[in-house]
Amino acid sequence: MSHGPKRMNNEAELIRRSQEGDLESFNLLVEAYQAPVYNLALRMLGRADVAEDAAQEAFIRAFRALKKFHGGSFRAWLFSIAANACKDELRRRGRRPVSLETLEEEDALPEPASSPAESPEEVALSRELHRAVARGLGQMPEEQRLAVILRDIQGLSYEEIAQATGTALGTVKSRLLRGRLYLRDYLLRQRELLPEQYRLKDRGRS
Amino acid sequence: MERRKIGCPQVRKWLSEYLDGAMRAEQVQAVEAHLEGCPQCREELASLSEAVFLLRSLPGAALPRSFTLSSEMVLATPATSRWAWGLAAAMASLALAFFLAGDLAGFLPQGTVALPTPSPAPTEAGLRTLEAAPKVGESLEGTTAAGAVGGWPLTQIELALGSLLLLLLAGMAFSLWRRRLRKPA
Repeated sequence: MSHGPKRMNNEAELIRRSQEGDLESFNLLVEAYQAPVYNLALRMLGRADVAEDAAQEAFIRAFRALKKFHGGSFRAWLFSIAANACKDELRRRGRRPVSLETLEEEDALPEPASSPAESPEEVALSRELHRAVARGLGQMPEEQRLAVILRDIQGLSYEEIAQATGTALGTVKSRLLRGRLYLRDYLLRQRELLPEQYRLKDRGRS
Repeated sequence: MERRKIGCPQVRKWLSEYLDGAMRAEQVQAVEAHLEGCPQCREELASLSEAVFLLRSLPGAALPRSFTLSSEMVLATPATSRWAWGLAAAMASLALAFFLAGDLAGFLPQGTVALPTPSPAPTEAGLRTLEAAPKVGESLEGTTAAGAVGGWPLTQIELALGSLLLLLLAGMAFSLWRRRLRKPA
C-alpha cells in the first residue's frame, strides 16, 4: 500500500482526531490498515478464525492506547500492538505449533484474493507450494516468524521492524537471517514432496 | 583503498542484509569479492534468495470482514473499570447503613476495641470531662471498664466507612467524567 504525501497529511489529522476520542476518524484508519493487520495475524497464527479475533482485539487495544503514540511510523506502532495480540493468542492456545492446526483444517487458509490467468495445474502446484511456505512459517520460532512476516510479507524497513518489535537493529537482522534460513532448510527437507520446477536448487548439497 | 578479505562465516552472517541492500558500500564490496571465489557461499545466497522470493510471493488473504469499531466495543471496558466502582460503593453503603442503624437502634454495643495495655491514668480534669461526656459520642482512649471491652468503636467505623464511600463516589464521578470527554465527536 503506497502513501502519497496527500494521504500522509490526512493520516496525521486522522490520528490526531482519534487521539481525542473521535471513533469515526479512527475507523478510517482501521479501513486503511485492516488488510495488512489481518494478514499479519493470519501468518502468525495460521488459522483464519483465530486471526480475526486477534485482528479485532488489536484495533480495540490500539484505539484505547492512542495517547501513547507519539509520532514515528504509525504502521509500525499498529503492528506492534497486533503482534502482542497475536502473542497473547498463542499463549492462550498453549503454544501449539501453528502448522498442526493448519493441517487439521484444510480450508483454514483462505484462498488468495485474485489469481492471474493460470492453467489449473499451475494453480494447484503453486497452491501446494504456498501451503508449504505457510507451514514452514508456522513451525518457525515465534520471534523469527514475526520478523520474517514484517519484512518479507509486510515490507517494513529494518527500523520499522525494530520499532514494531521493541528490539535493537542487530536483533532484527539476526532474527531475519535465522528465520529465512529456517524456511530455506524446511523447504529443502520438503523437497521430495514438491514438484520438480518448484524445488529449491540444491546443487552441491549432499 | 585496501579491500578487507572476509571468510565464509562472516559472509553467511551478512547474506540476509546483503539481500535487503542494507549494507554499507565497503561491506558489499567485501561480500561480492568473497562470492566471486566461493561457490559454496554463492549457493547459500541462491537458496536463501529463493526462500525470500517464495515468502514475498505468498498471496495476501482477502479480508474476511470489516474490523471497524463500534462504540459498544470500545466502551465495554474491563470489569474493574466500570461496575466494580458501583459494587464497592454499594457494599460500603450497606455496611455504613448497618453500623448507623446499629448505633442508633442500640443493638450494637458501644465500646472500644480491647486494649492490650492498661490506659494511662487520666488526670483529675480528664476524669471529670469523661464523666460529663454524653454516652453516644465516645472517647478514643479507654473509657470505663464496664461493658467497654468487646464492643464496637462505632464512631470510628462510621467515619471510616463514610470516608470510603465518599472516595468511591468521587472515583466513580471522575471516571464517568473522563469517559464523557472521550465520547466520539
